[in-house]
Amino acid sequence: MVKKHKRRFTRCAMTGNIWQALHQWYRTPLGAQVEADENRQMNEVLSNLFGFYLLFIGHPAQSEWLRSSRVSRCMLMDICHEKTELGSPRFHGQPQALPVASDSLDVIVLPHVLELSDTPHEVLREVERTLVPEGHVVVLGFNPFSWWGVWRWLLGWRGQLPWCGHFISTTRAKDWLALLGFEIMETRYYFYRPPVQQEGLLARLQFLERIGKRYFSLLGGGYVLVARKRVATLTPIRPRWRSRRKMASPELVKPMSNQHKTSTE
Amino acid sequence: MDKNLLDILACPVCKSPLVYNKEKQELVCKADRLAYPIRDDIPVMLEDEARQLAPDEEV
Repeated sequence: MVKKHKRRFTRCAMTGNIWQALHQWYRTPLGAQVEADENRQMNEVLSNLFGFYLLFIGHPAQSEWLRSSRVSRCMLMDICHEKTELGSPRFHGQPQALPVASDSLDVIVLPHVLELSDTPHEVLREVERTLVPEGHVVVLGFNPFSWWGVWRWLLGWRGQLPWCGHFISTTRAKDWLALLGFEIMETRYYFYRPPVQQEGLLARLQFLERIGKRYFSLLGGGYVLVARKRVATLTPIRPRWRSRRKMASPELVKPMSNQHKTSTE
Repeated sequence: MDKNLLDILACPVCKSPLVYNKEKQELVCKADRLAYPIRDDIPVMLEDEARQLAPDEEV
């Protein structure tokens, strides 16, 4: 008998809610720096996206990222299931089984959902189902071809966040999105410093941000992908029962400009 | 509960529309006969947390 092997994407050893643990990581010095960078990136990206409904999948505390959004109704799907007092309309749910009607959302934001999810393909399929045609998805992820990939290789076996996640490269993420009929609109990279927890060292390495953006921009620790859902619609063609009207023969039509000329002469 | 949420929420299992039961504070899926609770004005759209409706219970 062939034993069915289900591939696990993450190496996280923790038993509790992985998203709550990620939120705790954002409270560390390194996490705070990354969050500030991500906030800046999201402000720039979301200010160019329009629509009626926006769904943010993540922790309620991250809803500050949506401040610059021009979408009229921003909603939050809380995957941490924590009790917090926040005003934005939200609901609990799981990213691989979105409790949202098909073709109803204009923008979906996925901050590090794919790399920490066990079924990233399912998540993307749900995103594709719920987005309206020409709707946008914003994917945030850690870049494996950077310092973060090296750190993951060194520390991934410990099962701690975020190193236990399955970092998905931009090429792979773009491939998955293209397969589902998305068109990549924009790719941004951020955070060029090595992921160290020492606050002083992070401040001293600030110069890497400027150099990184200029000389090795593809090796940023994190990336933002903006993709648009493309839907090919059918164009109804009517059967041509009657032949097209023939154009008037050239002998019948006299050029107007020549006539005018002759009259003036 | 936020009215805008009601417009877009669907059953996470079968993706069919939901009926809002104001008295019991539940969102009911007629197809699966599942009732999703609304706790502190926040709908809990998880299959594990949903209540299976009794066979004689009307929606």
